[in-house]
Amino acid sequence: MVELISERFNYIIVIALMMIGLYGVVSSANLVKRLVGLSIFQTSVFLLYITMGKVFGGVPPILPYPAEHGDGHGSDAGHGTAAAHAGEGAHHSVEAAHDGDHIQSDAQTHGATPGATQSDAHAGAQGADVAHGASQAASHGDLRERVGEAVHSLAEQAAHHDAGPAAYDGVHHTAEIIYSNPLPHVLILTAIVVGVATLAVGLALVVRIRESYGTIEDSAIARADYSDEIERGTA
Amino acid sequence: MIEASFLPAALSDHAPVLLVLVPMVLAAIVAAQPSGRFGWLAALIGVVSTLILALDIYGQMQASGAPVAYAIGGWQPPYGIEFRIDGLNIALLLLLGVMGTLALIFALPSVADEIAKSKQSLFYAAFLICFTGLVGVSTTGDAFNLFVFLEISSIPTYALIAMGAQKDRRALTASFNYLVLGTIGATFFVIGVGFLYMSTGTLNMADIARLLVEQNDNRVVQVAFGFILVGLALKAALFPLHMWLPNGYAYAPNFVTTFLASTATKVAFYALIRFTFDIFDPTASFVTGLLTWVITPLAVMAMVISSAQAIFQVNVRRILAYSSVAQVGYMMLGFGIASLAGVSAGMLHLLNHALMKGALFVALGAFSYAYGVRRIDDFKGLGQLMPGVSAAFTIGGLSLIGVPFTVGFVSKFYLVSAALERGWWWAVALIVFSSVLAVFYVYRILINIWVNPAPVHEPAIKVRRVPMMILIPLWILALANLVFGVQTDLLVGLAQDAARAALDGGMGL
Amino acid sequence: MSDLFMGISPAIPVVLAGLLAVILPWHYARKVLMVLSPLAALFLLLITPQSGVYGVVEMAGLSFETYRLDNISRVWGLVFIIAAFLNGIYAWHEKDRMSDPSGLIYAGAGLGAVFAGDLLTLFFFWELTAISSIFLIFASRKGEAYRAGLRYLAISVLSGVLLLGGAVMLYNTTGSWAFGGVGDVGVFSIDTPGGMLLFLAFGIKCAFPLLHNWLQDAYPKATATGAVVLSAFTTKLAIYALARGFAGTEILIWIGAIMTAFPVFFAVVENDLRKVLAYSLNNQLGFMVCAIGVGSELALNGAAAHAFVHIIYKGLLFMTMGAVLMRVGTTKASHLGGLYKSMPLTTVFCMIGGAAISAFPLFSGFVAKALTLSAVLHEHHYIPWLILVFASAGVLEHSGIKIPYCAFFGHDGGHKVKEAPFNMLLAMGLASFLCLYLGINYGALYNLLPYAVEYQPYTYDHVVGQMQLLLAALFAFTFLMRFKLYPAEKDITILDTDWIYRKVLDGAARWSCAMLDRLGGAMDQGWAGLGRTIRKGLFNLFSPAGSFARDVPSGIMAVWSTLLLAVVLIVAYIYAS
Repeated sequence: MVELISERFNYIIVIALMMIGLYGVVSSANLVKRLVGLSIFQTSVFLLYITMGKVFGGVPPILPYPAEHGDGHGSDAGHGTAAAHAGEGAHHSVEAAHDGDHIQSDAQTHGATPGATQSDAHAGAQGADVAHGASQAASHGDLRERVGEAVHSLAEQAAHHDAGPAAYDGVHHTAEIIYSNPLPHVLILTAIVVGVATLAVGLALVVRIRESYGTIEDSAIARADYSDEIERGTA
Repeated sequence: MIEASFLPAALSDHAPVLLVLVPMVLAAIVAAQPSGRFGWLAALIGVVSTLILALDIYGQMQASGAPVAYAIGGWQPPYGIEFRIDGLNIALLLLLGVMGTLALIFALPSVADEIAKSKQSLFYAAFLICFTGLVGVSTTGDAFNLFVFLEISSIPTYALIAMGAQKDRRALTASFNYLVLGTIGATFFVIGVGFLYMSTGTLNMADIARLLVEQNDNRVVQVAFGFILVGLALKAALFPLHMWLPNGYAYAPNFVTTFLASTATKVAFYALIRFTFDIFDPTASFVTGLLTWVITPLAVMAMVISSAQAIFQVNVRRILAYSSVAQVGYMMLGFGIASLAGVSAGMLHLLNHALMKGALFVALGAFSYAYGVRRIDDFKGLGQLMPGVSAAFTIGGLSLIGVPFTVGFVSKFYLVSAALERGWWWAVALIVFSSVLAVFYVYRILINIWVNPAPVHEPAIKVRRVPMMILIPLWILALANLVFGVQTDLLVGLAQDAARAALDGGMGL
Repeated sequence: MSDLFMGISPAIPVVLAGLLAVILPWHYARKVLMVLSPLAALFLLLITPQSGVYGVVEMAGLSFETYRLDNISRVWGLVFIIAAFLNGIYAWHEKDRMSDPSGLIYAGAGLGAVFAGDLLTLFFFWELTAISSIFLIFASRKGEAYRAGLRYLAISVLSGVLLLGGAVMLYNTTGSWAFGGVGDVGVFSIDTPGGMLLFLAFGIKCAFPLLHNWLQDAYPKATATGAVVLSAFTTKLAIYALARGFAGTEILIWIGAIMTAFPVFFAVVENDLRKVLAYSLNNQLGFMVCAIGVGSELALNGAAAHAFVHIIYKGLLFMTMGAVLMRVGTTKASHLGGLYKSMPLTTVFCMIGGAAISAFPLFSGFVAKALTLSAVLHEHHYIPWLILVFASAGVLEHSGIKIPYCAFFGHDGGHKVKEAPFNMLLAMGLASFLCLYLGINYGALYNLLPYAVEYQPYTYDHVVGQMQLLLAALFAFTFLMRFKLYPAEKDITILDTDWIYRKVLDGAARWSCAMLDRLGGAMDQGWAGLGRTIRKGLFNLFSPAGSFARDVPSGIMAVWSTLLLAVVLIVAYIYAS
């Protein structure tokens, strides 16, 4: 039981926050409190995304800057992609058992170019290392193989993608360090901006409502509007 | 219509991204300067450029017979964000361009009338951002990016609706309610996208679609669909999640209502079709089950109940707003029928409804401009005082009912035949019933306009002449209702292409 | 010459003349068109040698059969042409730019619909009759007429939409737009949904009970000449469509029987004489509907014959009332009376019309109604037969006696007016002549009918039976008048169910409650209370202040969206497993 909870701790928090937020929106007649509820509701989603991107044992996806690669900007990009997807793959194999297969098939379709045979072989050799590292990180023993596969295939994919010497190094680095998936973080940064903007507009509206109605209680506002209508005989 | 690209290659190669960039950059420029007139001009440029670019993209698609894809910043999909335009969203882009242009022509006198001078430039800036968002939703091929554009369009919309507070303070509460609801809807949507990302590891729509085919048994996917469906249905104002709409439309400035009524819910409806048929597997049992047992009943409830609500309203704009909810019901019914015929009927009604509501709301804007009237009792005798505008309004009203030789009839005809194709007799009966209800609420307005005599005012009230800037878009829209009611090929062709693109995944051209 | 024009529908010259009349500024030129175009139509009808389908137009992948001539459409076509011709003469003096072209297009559309061989063509002309006739009502240029006209238009268009809906459904099941073949009757069944819709569409135009109000609402508000045209086409077109589509449908017997009976009561108490005529129109339609329901050859002959003579004598009665309206300015019984001195010829024509509609022997009504009654009796429908007999007496009461009596005799209204203009008298004279001629030389009428007739109307039974009935009714009228028991002509408005119907246009919900209210008001207060409760309930639900439409606080909307999410997830869960 404890294990069950601790494994899914983040999700439980997400659901709890979501419900608290929605309850806040529903229950309160105070417009500001309602906005607070809305913000909590949105926050739960941020947490959900961040949880998705987390890889156990992973480190922030910042590349150690190798001295011999100071010349090419493009190679950096290559690293980034490979790293991101390795992390992603590891994460997914934990999350949903058969995702690795998809990604593998994905990689195969991508890799159908004859010129890529060499890097294939190389990446395959390195992939074992990746699998090793990742499976150590992942605490679910039974998923080890799948994690290995997933990371392997992703490494392959990344190698094809860049199809140049830089890719070797990309794979090299990935094999040594486990990264968390940065993409959800980036996504949620965008979502946070959206949330802040919404909150700002909402609060501005509340200020205007307060100016013209003299209250921020929903029920009082409804009453005021309703008596307006009655006065005009339109109700 | 247009057979090939006509812009220089430098422009036409980047047309998909320019669609979004031009209005976005213009919005920043407009916000930075104080002149309302300049703002209007810039907005017009932004919207017209969108129309031209959309036409060019349409030409490119006609020439190549393939969707137009554009990788943002050169990052190839599925890693980078892709803009992708096929038969389904080109219809939306053209609609946005046309309706945006017509609405903006109407905007100059209407906004000058309703918005304080100092706020006009900001107003147009907000409009441009909103427009950017709508165009972005209809362009992007990336699920998360769609969420961002959805919110980019929504947040200025809240502000635009609240601008109606100068005339009626209820615009503020309407806007606030829309904000809360819209945010909940968007959040549901983004949760759904998150689940999709969890189960596929990608955000590119085409990529998700490819990976989802084998995951129909995955609970995460099913939950994702549920969240996305509800989130987008809220934005599209599906009954009973429509409650933000009537007040929003009723108290917003006339121009805002005209523009939103003919575009905003349409874009959400597009996103719904894109996700349901293109991204999820429409043959999966949970998708078909939801369409048949949730969407369809809600659609017919919308058709009937909202029409009944419209009958009892006293504010004409609320009558039309409730009627909009009912019309969303028609579209959703086509969507719920889920066959090629059904979806194309839904898309056709989407286009046609934009034409009729556009005409009706511009006519209301003209009435409001001349007399400042909104309530149904104040419409008495307008037929004698403003025969031209009243005639255009009447055409729109008849089209709303679905009188033959108007666009409303065409789309109802296709909807009925789609329902019959699935053997849904009861749906046909309800369509007819809802049309009868539409007769009542349109009748209530028309009888006041044409038959009841105008009240005599002592002293006579001051009347303003309706400027050509209002009359021109009004008559273009009214005549479009008639012309496309007879010459059905163009719109029906667009709608069928769209449905084919959604269902068969092809180009549909 | 005749080969050149072979196969052109008789509707074409009339409609074209109508379109021409729209732009012609000289009213005599328009009148010439109104008189000549029916003759052109007659010419086209006569040169078509035998039954068959002519004038097939291919358009947009559909074929429109514009001219199907057979034993049934010939009868209606002929009488429509006669009616259009008489109207052309009757309206000669009128200088109205609105009613001339609309009357012509309306008549042409009626002809076109009768000769339509498929449902799409029928739909086109069906809607054209609705749209063109509306101007005949508008032409009287009163606010009330505008409103009534709009109600009439709404109902007519609704009927057209139902017609199209039914046609589409039938097309989906059968793959054909056909409206029966040459000479077929009873081609549809009300058991299919498409057939049901068509039945309703025809029923509305045919003024079935509870669908009838548009008729009494609109016709009396038309102009003097407009009412004459209106009375001829729309409803008889519906009778034709009903005969072709649904002959032999059992339920029509009962619908027809009810239709004959209930207008009697309204007609007796109604004050506006043109409205009395509208009610009696309804009653006459009942006979035809009943005959169609019986569906035997004899019965269909009866319906056709009745429609034929009915158009003429009903037109005649509307003409006389139109003349009165023109000279006196009103047709309210309470304001009229004693006009026989100043309008003697009109009086005579009105009495001929009254005699014809009441089916006095030697008048056209008798020979037609005898067919129907015999057919009903022959198929052993005794109760409907009794109702029809009762209604025959009622017809005499309100149309045969009340109208001439109230308008031309009775207490003197003190109007000193001129006799009707010559052209009106000529039209009325021609119609009167036809009423008598067809009654006496009934063979001419019977030869026109769809099926060969071996029928002798002037048997001892028929004549004596009818005379007994008529005399009894006459006696009753005299008796009631004598002792002042007959409902006095007061300047009142009779509330028919059209009161309900006007309410409908105000709101569907209020309508149903108003009906309950009204029934309740007459029967017992409890019902009325219930009606009010329901109305209040609906109002509370839907009105701006009502719970369904109230400005809902955002919190409640959030609950809705969460609830819907829950439903969606549950359904997805059920369907996925």
